[in-house]
This record gives sequence, C-alpha cells and structure tokens, in this order.
Amino acid sequence: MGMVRRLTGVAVVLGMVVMAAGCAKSPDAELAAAKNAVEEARKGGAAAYVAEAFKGAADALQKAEEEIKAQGGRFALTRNYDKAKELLAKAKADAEKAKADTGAAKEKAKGEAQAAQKEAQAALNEAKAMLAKAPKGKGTKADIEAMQGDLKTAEGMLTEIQAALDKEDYLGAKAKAQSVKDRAASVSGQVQQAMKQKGKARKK
Amino acid sequence: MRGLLIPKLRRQGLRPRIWGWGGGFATLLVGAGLMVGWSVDTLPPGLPNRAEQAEQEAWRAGAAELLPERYASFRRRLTDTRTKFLEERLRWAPWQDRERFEREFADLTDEGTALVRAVRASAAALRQDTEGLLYGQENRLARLRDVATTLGMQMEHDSLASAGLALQEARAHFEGGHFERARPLIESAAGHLTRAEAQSLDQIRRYADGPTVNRWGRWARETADWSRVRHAAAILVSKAERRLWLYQDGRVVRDYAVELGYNGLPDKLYEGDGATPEGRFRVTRMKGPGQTRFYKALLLDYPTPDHRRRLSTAKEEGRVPARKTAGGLIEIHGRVRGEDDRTSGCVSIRNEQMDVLFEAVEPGTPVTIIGALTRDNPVAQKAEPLQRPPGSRI
Repeated sequence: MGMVRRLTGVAVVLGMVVMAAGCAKSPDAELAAAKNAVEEARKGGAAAYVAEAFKGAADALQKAEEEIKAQGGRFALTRNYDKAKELLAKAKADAEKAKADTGAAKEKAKGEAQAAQKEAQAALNEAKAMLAKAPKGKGTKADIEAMQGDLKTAEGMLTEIQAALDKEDYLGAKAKAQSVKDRAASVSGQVQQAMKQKGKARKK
Repeated sequence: MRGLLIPKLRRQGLRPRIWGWGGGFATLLVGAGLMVGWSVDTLPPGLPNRAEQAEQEAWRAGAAELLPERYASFRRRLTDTRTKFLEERLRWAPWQDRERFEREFADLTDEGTALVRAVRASAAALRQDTEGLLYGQENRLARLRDVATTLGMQMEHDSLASAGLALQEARAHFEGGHFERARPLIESAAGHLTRAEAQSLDQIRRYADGPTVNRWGRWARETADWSRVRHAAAILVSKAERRLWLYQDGRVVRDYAVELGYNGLPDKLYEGDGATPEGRFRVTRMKGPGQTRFYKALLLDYPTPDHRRRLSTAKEEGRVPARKTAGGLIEIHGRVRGEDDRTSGCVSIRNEQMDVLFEAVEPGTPVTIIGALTRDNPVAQKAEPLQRPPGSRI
C-alpha cells in the first residue's frame, strides 16, 4: 500500500515537471514569424521609407533573440519565455505596420516623382516652343544653338528620370526632374529676355 | 517527553512515516527558498534603457552612415552587455551583481552620448563641406558663363550644360539633406567644368602671352606709322578692348566700341567658327546702302595666305575637319535694328559711325585686327581666375 502511494506521488511530480517543461517551450514559431515579417518589411524598402518604424521592429526582434538565448541557458524547469513572446509579438506587429506604411510612403514618393517628371516635361516643351520663337540674327545663332544644346542635354535626362522611377528611386527621379525643370525655365527666361530686348529695339 | 514519545511511536510502527513527512517538508522548504531566490530580481529591468535611448538618438542623428564603425562597435557592446544582463537577471537573487551592471550601463550611456555628439559634429562638418564643394562648383560654372558672356566666347556647351544639370540635381539633394547623393554629382560637375575650362583657356591664354601681345603691339604701331607716313586713314581694331580706332596722319581721330563674332576671341580658323580673324588686312570693297543688309560695309581681304596656311596645318593635325574652308566676307559693317549686334566673325559698329568710316577710308585702306594692345587687357584679367587649379574653392 505504501509503495503504491509513493509511486503515485512520484508520478504526480513527474507529471508536473512535464507540464512545466511543456509550458516553457522555446517560441520557435513566433520567432520565425517575427523574423519573416521583419525580412518582408526590409525587402519592401521599409529601411529607406519608414526607417524609424523598421528599426523599432528590428530592435524588438534582436531583444527577443537575446531573451530567448538567455532563457535557453537556464534550468529547464525555470525557463520563462513570456517576455520573449511579448517582444516577438511587438516585432511582428511593428514590422507588419512598417511594411504597410512603406507601401503608402512609396506611393506618395512615387506620386511626387511622377508629378515632378510631368512638370519637367512640360517645362521642356515650353522652353522648346519659346526657343522656336527666339529672335534670329547672326549673333544669336550661337546662343540659340547653345540653348538647343542645353535642352537636348536636359531632354536626355528624361530617360534617366524614367530609369530612376523604374528602379523605384523616387528621390533620385525627383531631383533629376527638378534639375531639368530649372534648366528649361532658365532657357525660357533667357529667350523671354531676348524677346523683350528685341521689342525695345524696335520701339526706338 | 521525546524519550517517551519515540519509543512509543516506534512501538506503534509510526517512525518511518514521520521521517517521510519530515523529509518532504524540508525538501519543500528548500525548493520554495530556491524558487523565491529565482523569482526575486534585484536588477531593475529598465537598467539598459538610458543606454538604449542614446543608441536610438545616435542612429537618428545618422551614426550608421556617418560613423559606421564606431556605431557598430557601440551596438555590439550594448548587445553583449544586455545579453549578460539578462543572464544575470536569471541567476539566483543573492548571486546577482547589481553594481557591476549599473556601472556598465552608465559607461555605455556615456559612450552613446559621446557618439551622438560625434555624429552631430560629423554631420555638421559633412554639411559644411558639401555646401562648400557645391558652392565652389556653382561659382565656377557661373564664372565660366560670365567669362563666356562678357568675352563673347563660345564654350563647350555640352560640358557646361551637363555641369549645370548635375549641379542643379546636387542642389536638390543637398537641400533635402541627402549629402551622400549630392557629392558624386558635384564631382561629376567638376569634371565637366574642368573640360570646359581647359578649352576656354586654350582660347584665351594667348591674351596673356608676352610674345603674342608684343607682336600685336608691333602691328598696331606699324598701322599708326603707316597712317602718319602716308598721311592717310588706317583702322585698328582690338578684340580684347572691343574698340575700333580710326587713324589720320598717325593720330587717333575716332574711337568706337565694336561688337565681334559670337565666338570672337580666337583667331578665325574656318568658316562657321564664329571667330573674328586677326591680322593685317586691306579694304577691298566699300558696300553702300542696297549693297549690304548691314547698312554699309567695308569688305576685307580675308583670308590672307597666312590664314590659309594655318587652316591647312590644322587640318593636317586633325584639329579641323578636312571639308572646312577658311570662309570669307569678313567686313566692318553697320547694324540691323532688332537683331543681335554680334556677328559671325565680322566687326560691327553703329550705323552713324559707319557713315564716318565710309567718308574716311577708301579701297586699299589698311585694317589691322589684333587681340590686345597690352598684356594687362580685359581678357587676360578675366582669364586669371580660370588659371586656378581645377576644383579650387572660392
């Protein structure tokens, strides 16, 4: 009878140990999910477009890994992965939000770059039209050729703008478009100035 | 009592049960003690917070880009310390070393704060440096354009246009704080400007060259002497000064401002280069109203044999395409109202001045066109800044 009781007691203790060990299982699935979410956000360009949010997710993941490593070094019965799980959940949620925000930020940057591209094209067209009306003369021939050269170089930049857009380098595309727009505006301004001077000369 | 009880229990067969209960109770006490030891944490969980905040601040300031090695080293140390801290927190409470981690995280916070300061200083220096480079190249471009405009020089437009676009793009990146994107564009612009400067210098270096200017001076004196000896009119044009002097009996009787070819400074080499030729010419024909669209004109005997020789040499050296000719129809002429006063290579003056010349000269009158009278001329002065080493800051 005594032996039966002792064996029952041992069985109960063993059962509790097994249960405890089961509760303190390393959160491998959560870790994989968080890692995957962070990697997806990185691939989507979160590091460039929503850098701070992405860093928050990456840092939470790193801390979770540190926590898991530390817990792994403990006696099995005393392991506790609650903190790690909490950090992993945060990393995953932050990474998913960063990924979603990246999409929005990218769309915004893309929209701005495309608008700048259109403005550059319009400015270029206007400058070409102005140049076609520029006062002709022996001396202005060289100036007109120079300005045509300027516009040709600027026009070449339109290809670079499109290439930058295709590569999703919206910042680069926008800056290039700005330079084309400025150059075209400068040519238009010079032609307008020349036309004004010509008008004055005729009035004399 | 104990002496009475134990033999009694022993007699009743209860002794082993007491030992069993007692042992179990003692084990529970030890276990509970250990558990309490493990569950009590003497290390505050927020101990790394300040060091982590410093890391975040350094990152925000751009540490990863500006001081990548120092930042990576700091992050490594923070991670290591944090890992050890976690391990320490999981130890039995009486064995935890709180002081050590307080010290280590305080050190890390100091290091992080110093890193933030260094990153900010580095960012400010980079901004200042980039701005200096950008400003320098923008000035260089403006100076080249100014030289081209004021001296009536045709520059390598592709280079100037490319430099202009690159600098405008760099400026857009600079304003957005993207210095790392601005810098390669500034360098690219500097390359274009160096090419344009080299080409410009080739054109205007002659104006500061002693023997060349002395030769022009000799031509000018000989023209005046010819006028004095022959008691006749002679014309001298200086391209650098942009003046025309009419001599009578060796004395200057008229002094007029002139316009030249749109690329007037080089000596004319071929038709269409926009340059005004240098040399000693004669008036070959006087064109009155109706004979020229430029009011009145004095046709010169360009090209001279000397000009033809120079063109042949340039073709042989491959500097000029073989199909190019020396051109002709170089004149001193009046102006068309509403049109640019610059020419394709001729010398233009105001129509009323043309009337005076027309009265004073005749076919055969000498017309000497020189680059400059002295070495201290406007072109040499304008060329001086271009002689600075490429990329030098202003």
